[in-house]
Amino acid sequence: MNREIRSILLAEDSPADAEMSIDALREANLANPIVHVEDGVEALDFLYCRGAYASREDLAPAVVLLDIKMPRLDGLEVLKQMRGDERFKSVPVVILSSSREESDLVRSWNLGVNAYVVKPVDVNQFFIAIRTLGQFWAVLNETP
Amino acid sequence: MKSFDFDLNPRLILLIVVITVIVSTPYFFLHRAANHTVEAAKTVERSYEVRQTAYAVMYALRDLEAILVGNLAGEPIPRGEAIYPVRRADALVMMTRLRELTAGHRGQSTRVATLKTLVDGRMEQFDQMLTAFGRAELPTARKKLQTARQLYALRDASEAVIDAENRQLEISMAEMDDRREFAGWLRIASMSIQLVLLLGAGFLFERAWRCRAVAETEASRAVARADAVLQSVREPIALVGRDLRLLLTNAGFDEVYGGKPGEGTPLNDVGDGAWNDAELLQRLGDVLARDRELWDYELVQNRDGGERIVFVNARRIALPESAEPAVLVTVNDVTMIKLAEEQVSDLNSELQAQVDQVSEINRELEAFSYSVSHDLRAPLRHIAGYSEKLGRHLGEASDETTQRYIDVIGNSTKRMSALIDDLLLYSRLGRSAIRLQPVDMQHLAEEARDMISAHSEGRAILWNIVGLPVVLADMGMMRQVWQNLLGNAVKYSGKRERAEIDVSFERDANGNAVFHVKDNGVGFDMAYAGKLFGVFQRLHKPADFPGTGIGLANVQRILLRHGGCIWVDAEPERGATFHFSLPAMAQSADNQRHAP
Repeated sequence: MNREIRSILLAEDSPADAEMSIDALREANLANPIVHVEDGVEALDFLYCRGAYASREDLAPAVVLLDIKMPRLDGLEVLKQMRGDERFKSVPVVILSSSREESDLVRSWNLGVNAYVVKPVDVNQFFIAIRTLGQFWAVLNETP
Repeated sequence: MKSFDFDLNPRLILLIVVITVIVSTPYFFLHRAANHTVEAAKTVERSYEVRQTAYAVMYALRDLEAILVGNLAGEPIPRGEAIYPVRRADALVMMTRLRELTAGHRGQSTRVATLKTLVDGRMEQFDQMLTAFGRAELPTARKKLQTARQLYALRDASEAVIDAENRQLEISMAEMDDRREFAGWLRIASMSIQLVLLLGAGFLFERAWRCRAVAETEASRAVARADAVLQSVREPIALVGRDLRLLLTNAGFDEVYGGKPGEGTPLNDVGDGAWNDAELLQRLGDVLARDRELWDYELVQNRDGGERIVFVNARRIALPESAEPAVLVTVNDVTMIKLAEEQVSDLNSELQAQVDQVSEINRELEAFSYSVSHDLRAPLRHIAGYSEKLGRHLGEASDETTQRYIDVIGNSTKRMSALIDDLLLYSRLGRSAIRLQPVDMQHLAEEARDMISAHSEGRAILWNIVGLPVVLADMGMMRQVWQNLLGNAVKYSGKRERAEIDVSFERDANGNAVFHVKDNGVGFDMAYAGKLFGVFQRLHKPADFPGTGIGLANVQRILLRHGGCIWVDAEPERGATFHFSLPAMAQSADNQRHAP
């Protein structure tokens, strides 16, 4: 098993949400580096070591946290491309969304998401949720 | 011309035969009886002649004897010698005649033969006597007479013949009487039978004549009725024959196509060319010639100031008075229907446009609620998150007031988030499809009760939920109804020492299911009841009873979507009773599993 430390990819266009999410992940005291991208295109660039990430070490992330509504390419599209590629098929993907809409839920699960989390408005619940996510997917969960 | 052909049915033939037999049989018998009578008469006549001839023979012989006895006595009969040969010849002729008459009658011919032998013998003795007398040998002559009288005694033989003939005569007479009597009876019988036959024939004829008269009356009535119907039908009807020439039109036809056309007018000359449609004429020709049918042929006919759209129907029929078929053409004016169809079509497209518009509005609404869901929540989260961060950032530097401000900001964001969630739920209730299924209301109410009880520990609540039926409804929505109504009942009776909540059911006169939820809570003034079911409308202060004020709005929306309704009775401080109904048609009628 590859014991190299994999990163946590966070795709989130809202700077405030991103900041709070990163704060929460840091509180979890994870060893994994956190990579923040602001839309779907950047997320794919990171995954495929393109553009700004052309020179990074080609290692799949431990978990990908995706917002649905993002500029250029949305989270569901990123999820779809990942599930269509052998290399990223087994990488855990968690949708982090403000939407409780049934249509979003159904589409995400149909595309093969590993978890769907509605961002709590309550700040304490939000921190607990993100921290738990980070701990579970980056530490407890094992991938091939 | 229709040829008359006799209908030789077997019954008629039988009847003729029977009549012939009945009429001719008496004739046959009468004829035979007449023949028999004639024969019997002949027999009688012969018998008389036999008797007469026998007597004649006897008289002739007596005459001969008288002449001879006269001669012997010396007192000869004048001209005796001349008479003798004549009478002798007479006797022989008579005897021959007697033999002729009795030939074939066995007993009689034997008796006649005996008589003849005696007659011959006697005449021989007479002749010898006459010879002896001529020689004047008187004793010889006397002896011969003696011999003739003794040996050839005629009396018995002749009487035997006459007696036998008398007997025969009696038999013949009796037979003749019998025949005559039989013939009389036969005549009477045949006359009676013929009379009966005549009466029967008369009766049958009278009956047939009456039937025929009735049938003729009926037929003429039927014709009159059919004509009345034909003439009073408003739809134009025409009967066309060979070369599509008119045979008959009804009043409706004449009215529509400008006056009564003469019989034999070609159809395409009628009504200013209204029928001048090549395809129609062709097809009508096919109907006539090949027995095709014409169904709803749409034809546009010009009429003064516009067009008439008609459906033409035609079928071939056989006419009773003619060997040639004819075509019955009926016309339906569908102009108004066509216009109405156009109007319906216009209205439909208008409606479709409006439906499209509504769908568009719905899509926009969906997009709107999606943004509310997603985009309004994010800034809220940020307000909450950053006010928290601010608190931490200030740390020791923050005083009580600062902390209170931060708390107010946090609580407000939570409340706003709850409002947004409620609003989204309300909006979703209006949009999502209803999935009707049998729903056990007793079970749902008890489930809601258990859930609410779990969240209201320490409260004394007396529940009474009985006799709720199974209804056809959306299970999820009904669950919300019960949770809201029972939740409210518990909430607004919170200030009572012991809350009493009664849930009951009844069926109204129209079969609708009506449910009642009664509490002994604070109640309210009915003056404000109208506000009760509005979105975010509240009749109590949030400090007294928490809540966003969307619950009853949701309940009302759910019930309206099921075709039901909700209403309330209340009085301040005396509790409230919520009633709601579900329509009869949306329920499985007799599924009342929980009888009280």
